[in-house]
Amino acid sequence: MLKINGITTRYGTVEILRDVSLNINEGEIVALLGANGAGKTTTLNTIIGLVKPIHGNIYLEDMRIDKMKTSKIIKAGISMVMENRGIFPDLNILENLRIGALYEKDEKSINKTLKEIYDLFPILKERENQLAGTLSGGEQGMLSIGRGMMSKPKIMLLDEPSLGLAPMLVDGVFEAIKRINNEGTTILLVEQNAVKALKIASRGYVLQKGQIVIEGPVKELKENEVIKKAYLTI
Amino acid sequence: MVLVINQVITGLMLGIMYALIASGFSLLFGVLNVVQFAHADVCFLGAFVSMAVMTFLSKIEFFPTWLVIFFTIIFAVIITGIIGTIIEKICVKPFRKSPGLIILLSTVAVGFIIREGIKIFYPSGASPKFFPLSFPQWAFSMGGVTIRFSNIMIIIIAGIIYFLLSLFINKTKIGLQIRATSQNVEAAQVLGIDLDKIFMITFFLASTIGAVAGILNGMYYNIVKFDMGLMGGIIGFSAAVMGGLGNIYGAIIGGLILGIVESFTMAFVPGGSPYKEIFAFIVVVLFLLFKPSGILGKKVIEKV
Repeated sequence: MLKINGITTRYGTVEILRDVSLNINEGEIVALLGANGAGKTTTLNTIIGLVKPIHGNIYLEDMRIDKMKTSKIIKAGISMVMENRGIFPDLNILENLRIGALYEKDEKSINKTLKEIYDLFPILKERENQLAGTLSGGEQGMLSIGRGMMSKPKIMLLDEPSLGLAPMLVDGVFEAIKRINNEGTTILLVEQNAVKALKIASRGYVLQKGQIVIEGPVKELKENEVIKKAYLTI
Repeated sequence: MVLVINQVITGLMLGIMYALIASGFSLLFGVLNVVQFAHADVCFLGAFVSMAVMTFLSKIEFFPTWLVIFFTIIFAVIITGIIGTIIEKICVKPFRKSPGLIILLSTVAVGFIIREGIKIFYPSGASPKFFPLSFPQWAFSMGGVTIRFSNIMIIIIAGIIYFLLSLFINKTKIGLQIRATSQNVEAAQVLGIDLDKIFMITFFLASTIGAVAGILNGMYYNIVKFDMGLMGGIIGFSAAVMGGLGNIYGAIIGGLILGIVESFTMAFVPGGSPYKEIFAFIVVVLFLLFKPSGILGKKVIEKV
């Protein structure tokens, strides 16, 4: 579904990603692991067109998207849940969600998606008219994931959805991701919490200093000595 | 008491002009996160544009006067809005990824260009000009309180503008995107909000509202001058900061306070007329000391 072929990106003269290739099939949950500063967020930003690669290309199904504007890429069926949640504090919950469906004209379809989101996170329904800035960190995380669902994306990119959450809430978030995936959305999950990520993912990639160093099905990754040492021992 | 009420009316008129200018500053600051210092110059450019449009329309013989006035205002407001978007395209957009200071400097430069441009290119632009549009001179008195037709018109026009503006900002999809962009630019981008479009619309909006302020100012005081944007800008900007930069309603409150302070200074401080700006800015400084985030502002401004 999403094919990233040998992208290289730079911020100024510093190379962030070198020859990164990822391949995500329809219906999968793919984990992208790596330490801080490895280039995970840059990879996601490159996919949605905020960072333009200097080499390589990206395809969503048969459409080449690496030269497209972000708004076009979102319209084409990708959504991203940001690491710092990226909520709008002075908009209420409903407005925060609705802005996720910028390119959906059909009210019925918007309401249907809203209902799905409220089923998944009932607390958002309760607080529909409350300003998002008043939510707790965990609730903001839910809001952010919910907003990512609003455009009914083919593929959803999640950047560290468990970051900064109490351990109790982390399980809930991963549970939600799994459910979203079961409903038919393909998922690329960036995580530092490798243990949890590998529990729900089917395949994974490990990014190190801007390069993919290991890739494979979760079973293999779990057995890999490097991964065990670097990411799975906590 | 009568004097106080009359001064409140005078201050309200001044305050409404300031508020209209300040609202533009706030709108622009919201999305830019930087002050667009040429904004007040754009507002008063609106007055000059309307004079030029009027000269042109007056030549069409079969137009009755009221139609000329009507079209003059409509065209002048739209043209000024377009000028605002051109300024955005040329002087702001290229610097959007640069540090905020660059945009700041660039807009200060645009302000100079507008002022000096009017001075040089507008026929005898260096001297104060009589403004050809005005309100009918009807007035009525009630126990010494004089209310003029122009007072009522200005309040109605400002009311309509703010009603439409809040409708646009709060009820439309574009308005939602403008609010989102001013709260979190990165998130707005990630969601696929077209920043180019949002910036363009915001500049158009702020500049049209500014043009109305410039034209009303001309109609009320019957005089315009090329460098009015300088003082207008500083006061409008101060009003926006007092109200909480980025908050349109705060800008209204800030503008009205400054207008009333000025009119009271003129009336109640002996020989106070020359001191009106001094008193206004003392109030500004006091507000900054005791409520630095502004009356309705939340975040303390970290960028200028």
